[in-house]
Amino acid sequence: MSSEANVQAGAPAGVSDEQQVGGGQLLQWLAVIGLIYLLLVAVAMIGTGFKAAAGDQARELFAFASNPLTGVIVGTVATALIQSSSTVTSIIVGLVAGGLPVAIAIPMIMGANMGTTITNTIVSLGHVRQGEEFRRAFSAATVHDFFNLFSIFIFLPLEIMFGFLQRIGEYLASFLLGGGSMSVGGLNFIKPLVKPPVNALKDVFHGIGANDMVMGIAFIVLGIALIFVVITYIGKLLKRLMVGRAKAILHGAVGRGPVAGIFSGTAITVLVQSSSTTTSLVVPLAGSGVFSLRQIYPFTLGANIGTCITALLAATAVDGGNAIFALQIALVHFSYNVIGVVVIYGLPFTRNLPIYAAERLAGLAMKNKLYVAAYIGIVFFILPFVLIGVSQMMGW
Amino acid sequence: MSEFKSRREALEEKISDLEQTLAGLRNQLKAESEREQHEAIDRLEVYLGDLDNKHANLQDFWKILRDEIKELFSSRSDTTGKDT
Repeated sequence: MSSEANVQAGAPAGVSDEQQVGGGQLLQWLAVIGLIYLLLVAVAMIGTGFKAAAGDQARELFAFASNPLTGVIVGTVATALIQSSSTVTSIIVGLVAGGLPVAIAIPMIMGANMGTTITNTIVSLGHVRQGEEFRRAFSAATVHDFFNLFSIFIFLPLEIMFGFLQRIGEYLASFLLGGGSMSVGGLNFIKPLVKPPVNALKDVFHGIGANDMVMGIAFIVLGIALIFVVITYIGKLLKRLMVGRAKAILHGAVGRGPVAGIFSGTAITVLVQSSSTTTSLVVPLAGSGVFSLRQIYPFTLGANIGTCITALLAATAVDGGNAIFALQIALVHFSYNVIGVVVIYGLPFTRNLPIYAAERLAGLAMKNKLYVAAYIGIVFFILPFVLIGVSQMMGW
Repeated sequence: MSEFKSRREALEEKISDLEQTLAGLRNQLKAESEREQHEAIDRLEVYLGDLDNKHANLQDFWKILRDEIKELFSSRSDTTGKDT
């Protein structure tokens, strides 16, 4: 469009297309910054609210999830229902900031990884009428599910027995918070920025005579709602803003092998702040047959690593004595995903298990859609509730 | 002995030629599939747009699932009818 056309279209005279696009993008970037700020405020609100409502009773309040299996299931179902692991992990960081023990939060983080895989499975259903294309798309979606499922099977028992993730997170958090030049103490500028709106809200609640319990619950509810809205809008904006960069990263990874695939998956997920967007994007690429399942697979693993950035970001908003635990759980999330990729993808035998399982299931799903319904229903909803029931009955 | 040697050399030469041709074809195939991959990546905006169709995907899937279940039960009742 020329500048004459701009005038006709109502744009100020002398404003070129590039300037309009640049101005629009600037506004969108400002909106992203604003939304990230709101995300940090929301995490701080949950932490403050949980502390106010639960006091020293946080452990008792989450006693129902002290069974690790229940924790995994809570994380899985919550993430499957709201279809965003970033939202759930940010909420978990907020809860840890408010006093939720890290040991209880770790299985929830594992479950969040599993729950987020439902999104690309639903996206693959868009190919359901295309026979062979559906088989390829569905296997590309479920390879991520099976990887995360195997990851839980391997690392949850190890965590229960040795608490290795908790220790790694603890070590990294104390190193980062107290390690001299490597300290994230430099990020302390975030906390003073986040505190004023939280304190202002506190004053409002105290002003209307609300006690700590009421204020705490209101903070938790508002914080969760805010995180949900913020992550939805950040995702939408970043998808629009980062599509060019994502394309460049993908072009760069073509023909460069699995390690480049993992790095490109990580980079794109960091850019769009959503692993489900990244893993869903590759479903049509695999469905068309242009990319093979083996080429797609490392890319989806990179998404697991890239999604940790949100929890790490959320942890920077936490202050007080629990700041180290908030950082610890964010680093546990990161370590769990990195170790998962290194161990499961690094060993040839375990590397091929998710591919084998996804191909088998996709073959069955192509023949009869009941397998798809049974798979989604059982893995994401029925089995979790059955396991919760059984574990409660057994008093685990 | 020399005849055997020359036959052997001729065969080795043929194998080497074939291997070179094969490697060339493999490279061509790789280049062709990478070209297709680059073209597919260029359509990323379309795929991003499709991500918003999750509800429609589920509705369509539900229709197909319902039809398959109906078909399954009707074929079962047909078989039962024949048996009796």
